[in-house]
Parts: sequence; C-alpha cells; structure tokens
Amino acid sequence: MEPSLREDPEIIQDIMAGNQTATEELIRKYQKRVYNTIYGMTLNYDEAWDISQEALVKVVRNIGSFKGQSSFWTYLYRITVNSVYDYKRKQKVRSRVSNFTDMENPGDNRQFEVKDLVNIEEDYEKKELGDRLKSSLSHLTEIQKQVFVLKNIDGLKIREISQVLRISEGTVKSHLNRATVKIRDVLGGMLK
Amino acid sequence: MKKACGINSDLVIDYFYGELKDPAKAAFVAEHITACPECAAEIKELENVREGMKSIEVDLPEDGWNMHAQGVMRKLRRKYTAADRFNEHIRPFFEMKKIGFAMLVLVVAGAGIQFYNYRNNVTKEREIAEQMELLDNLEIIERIDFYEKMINS
Repeated sequence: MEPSLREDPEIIQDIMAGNQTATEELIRKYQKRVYNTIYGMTLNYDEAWDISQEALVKVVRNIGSFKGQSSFWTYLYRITVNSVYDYKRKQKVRSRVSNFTDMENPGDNRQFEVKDLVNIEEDYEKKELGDRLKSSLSHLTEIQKQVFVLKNIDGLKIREISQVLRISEGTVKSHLNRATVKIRDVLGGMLK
Repeated sequence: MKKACGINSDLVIDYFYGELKDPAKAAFVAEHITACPECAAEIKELENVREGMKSIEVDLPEDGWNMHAQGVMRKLRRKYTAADRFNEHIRPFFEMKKIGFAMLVLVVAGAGIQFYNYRNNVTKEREIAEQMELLDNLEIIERIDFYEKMINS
C-alpha cells in the first residue's frame, strides 16, 4: 500500500464509519513515525515494535474520542508517549511476578527479532555516531529523553511538545536545553 | 549560563531549534554566531547531533513495515472480537448490577426499619421499667402511709 496522501480528518471520518481500509491507511501513514519515536525513547528494536503496535491499536480504538480540538499529531504523540510509560510500568510488574504467573508479554506473539529486519548502516562513521548517540541518550532522564526525541526525531515545536506532554512551554525548553547540553558534553570531541 | 563570549548559552540552543520568537533577538544571535568561533562551533555540534539523531532512525524494508502494519490490524481484529464478546457478557452484568443495587437498597431499608424497631423497643422497655420502678416505689409509699396511720391511731 502506498503512503496515504489524504488528509487526516478524511481518513478519521472513514475509520469512524467502520472502513477497515481507512484504518490500514492511517496505520501505514504513521507507523514509521510512531516506531521511530518509541525507538528513540527505548533504543530497543523489539520493544519499539511491540509498543508501537500497541500504540497504533490505541490510536485507532480511541479515534472516536478524538474530537479535533487539538491536532491529530498531538493526539497521536500523546498516545505514543503514554504507551511507552504503560509498557515500562507493566515490565516492572511483570518482572516482580514473573516467577509466579504467566503474564502475557506483547512480544510473545512475535516470532522473530526485529533487528534481523533492520537495514545495517554501511557508513561506519555514521554508525559510530549513531551508537554513541544512543549511549548518550541513556544519560538523560525520561522526560529529557522524551522532549529531546520529540524535538530531534519528530521535529515537533516547543508548543506541540508541551501539548503532548502536558507541561508548560518553559519546562519543555528547560528540559530540551539540559538534554542538548548533556548530549553535547557526553559526545564531546566526536562532534568536531 | 553566560558563555565566555558574553552570550547566554540557552539563547544559542533556542536559536538553533528555531524557537526564538523575537525576530530582533534571532537576528542578534545570527549575527553573533558569524563573528564568534565558539558559538559557530556549538551550532555545528548541534547540527551534528541532529544528523546523528536522524541516523538512529530505523529503516525497515517494505516487507518489515508490511509485517508491522499487518500485526496492528491483527491485534485490532482480535481486540474488537474480544470487545464484542465482552460486550455480550457486560450487558447482563449491568442488568445484574441494577438488581444488585435494588437489593442493596432493600437491605439498607430493611436494616433501617430493624434499627427503628429496635430503638422503639428499647424505648418501650425503658418506659415499662420506669413504670415498674414507680409501682415498686408506690408500694413502699403505701406501706409507709399504712404504718404511719397505724402509729398515729
């Protein structure tokens, strides 16, 4: 299926009318963006796969509650970020009770590892920078990572990030600046 | 935090991200960067960070994205089916809830009536006891009267 060129309100209307083709259209339009946002926050191919699928399911299932008061982007990203929170919370619970129960893991039905599908970066320098960046992201707090990823991977504006995360624009700026300084300091001379 | 060149480092970052709303401020920073090697180097570093972040984006082959989308559709279908099945059971549950609520009201009303009757009974018993006590006292009073009359006669 080719990426959709239709506007979001049109697709959403069709989904609410029960059109399954429109549902798949919306999924394909945003799957890569949702996947990469989550990958930026988790840095785990498999987790990003599982969480992004769950997030897209939630986006579609709750499409009826999207009233168009905020942009569809805000709605999509809010669900995406919340899905990461939910997954991490469930992982904590799962790790505590794993000896006693068989709690279902969203990845249980995935019979492969996502990294086997990923195109390997052939440019060594680019790959090394990417690996160092991934490592430097782990120095950020959760909220700093979210802000940094939404800004640098998704290109959201400060105002949009504040709507997604439900924090003030000043707080977003503060987190972004601190995250940027940390990343820059950790990467050090590699960026010169 | 002020840098050695005198400019606030947050200003440079805001400029880089295109978040300086004041055009005069943006122009000031832009001009400063052309003249300040340290700030120019910082902008270059930030550009590299941004490029680096783009490089960590995952690029799956078309088959990979197809599998991903199909997985979502499968989960949606499974979830809708489960939701439908759940709805078939949830309706009777809501009906049961209404009955349960009605029973709760009856139980509370019954308990209320019992409590009212209990208080009434307690009051009546107290009244009877008081009257008995009065009668006892009357008997004593009459005996005292009788004895006084005997003494006086």
